[in-house]
Amino acid sequence: MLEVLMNIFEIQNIIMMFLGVTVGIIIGALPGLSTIMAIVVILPLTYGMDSVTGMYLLLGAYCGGTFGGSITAILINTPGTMASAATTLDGYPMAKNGKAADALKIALYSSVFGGIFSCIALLFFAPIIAGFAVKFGPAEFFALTIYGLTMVAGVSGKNLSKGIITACMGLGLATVGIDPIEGVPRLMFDQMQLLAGIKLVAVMLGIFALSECLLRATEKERHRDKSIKVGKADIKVLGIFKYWKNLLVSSIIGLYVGAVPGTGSAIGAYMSYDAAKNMSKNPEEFGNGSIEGVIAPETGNNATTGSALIPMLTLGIPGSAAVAVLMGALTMQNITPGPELFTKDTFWVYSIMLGLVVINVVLLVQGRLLTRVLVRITDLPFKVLVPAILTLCMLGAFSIRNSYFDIILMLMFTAVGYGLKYFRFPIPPMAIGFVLGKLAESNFRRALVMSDGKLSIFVTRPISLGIFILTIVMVGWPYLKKWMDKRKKEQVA
Amino acid sequence: MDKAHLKKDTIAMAVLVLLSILAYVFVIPNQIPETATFSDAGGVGSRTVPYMVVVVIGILSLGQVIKNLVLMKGMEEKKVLLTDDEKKEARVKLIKTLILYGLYVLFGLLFTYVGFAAAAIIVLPAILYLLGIREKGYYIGILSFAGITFVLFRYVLEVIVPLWSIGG
Repeated sequence: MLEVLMNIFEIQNIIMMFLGVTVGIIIGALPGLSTIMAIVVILPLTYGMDSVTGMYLLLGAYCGGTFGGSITAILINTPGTMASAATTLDGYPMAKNGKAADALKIALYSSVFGGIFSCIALLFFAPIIAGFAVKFGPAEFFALTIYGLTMVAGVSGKNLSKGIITACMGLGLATVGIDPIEGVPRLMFDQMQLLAGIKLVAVMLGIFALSECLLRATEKERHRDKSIKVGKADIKVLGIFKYWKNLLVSSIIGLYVGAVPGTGSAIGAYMSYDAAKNMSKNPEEFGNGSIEGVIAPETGNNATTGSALIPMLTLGIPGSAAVAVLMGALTMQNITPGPELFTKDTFWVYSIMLGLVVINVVLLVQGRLLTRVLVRITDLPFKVLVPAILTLCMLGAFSIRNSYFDIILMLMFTAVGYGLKYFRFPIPPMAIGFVLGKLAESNFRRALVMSDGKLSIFVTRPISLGIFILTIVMVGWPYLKKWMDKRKKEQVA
Repeated sequence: MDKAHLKKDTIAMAVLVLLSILAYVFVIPNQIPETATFSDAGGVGSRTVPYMVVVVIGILSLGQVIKNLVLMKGMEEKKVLLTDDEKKEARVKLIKTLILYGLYVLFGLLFTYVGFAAAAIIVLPAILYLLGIREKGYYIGILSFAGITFVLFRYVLEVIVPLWSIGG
């Protein structure tokens, strides 16, 4: 444990945490740019780094991005990321009432509280789940990947079939390269650079970053109302912790939501907001600048950050689209997330889990120091960032393998991403399909080899059967609930 | 969704159906060799997952086409009357997007055949100008950013980024 702590506090790791959090907050604060984009844009910087140092950079962006959206949510009534959509409900009215600095301070402390609570849960639950998952074989892992793929339903928005289509596109992209079982080339179109498959980063940079710039660059800008001034905060830290019940309940909600694949920080935020309103002695204040209305969503959304890593680290299943990208980054560093990490690479996994606690402390420090500077971000036109993002993406794509081919791939996927967004196809399912595709296929085929080709292996092994039943319940439950609610209404009528 | 959006959506889905058929009939058989699939693996081989993927995409797209056609049949055509200014704005937006993508491609070409410096000096200010940014400070800022990023990648991360080069 001492070695792990000493490793965490090495100077290059601390620098990467600060850098990651800063980049995450900045990108998260810009409306329309997501936490995923923050991770994708700095992902190429991690290639030459030690895997732990690289993960600190990415996790810093992940945590910073989840908090960063609250800045524009409070100041211009436009969430920087979906995770902060619920913060606009009371954050912006607080700002209009001359309490912008208070709202920002509350958002920061609540985010850090939720983040640290989530990290403690990660430290406690992850080893337990990993200990259980060590018994899993290919059939169980295949069942888990199917469970993970059902989270497509959660990130598809209103159109589930479009989400499944883009997830299938991701699955298809994952088959490019050498077949891991039979060793034959697949879908390479005579390009030797595709021997090892399509690189995740090239796809993500095109699909998430550059295509988003194409869409947003020609839209009208939203700017801060100049009457909203950010002065000195009146509220003290103890004043925030007076609402300890709200902090605790929101953290628990965020923790649960983050660990369940298919949900995300936005759902954690809204559920926490609803719960806080129901629990509050002054529910009529919600929507008009209630402090509790800022505490709840900001605690809830950041409380998903640690718990979303639980299924990834223990089972190799990403808990959200952003974590799917983190998982892709790990695979590029030749680290395979899953239960074996806890037996074969205990140093690494505890460095990550404990490091995440430190990252949340860094978030607190950065937030306190940089709030006034970060507020200026809301005055920056998005159009100015387009060439900056292009520069980072081009250098990032090139640095994957010092090859121009990845730049070509990135530009191709920029067009694909733009087309998909134009026709309202959700993009996160593609990331999930791509990351889980290889895992799903190889475990499926290995399980069939073990069972001499019999599909019954997936239902005769009890853990595999249990996971499939859970998957069916998770997918079917919202429809069943809708039907039950409809019947109840009809009966009442 | 109104009828105009449904029409666009239907065309997109129809294209996906066509692409799925093409992939099933031509691309997969040509690009994935038929190997001796493991007889003790239920006949599952290299082509199985790619075939499954295109079949699912094809079926879902076809389903969406049929659903849209049924919905459109019951809908009245809503004449959306755009003013001349709105039509012009939409056209300008589309042209700007295409030019911006062209600048992305130009950056890639210059980066490959001439070097990072040429790509940054020519394309980045062109993007700012295209998007209507006129303040000199931003131009200086973006070129400085490009320089700092180059130094970061070249000397800190040790990625061999060509500053000037001839050929790919």
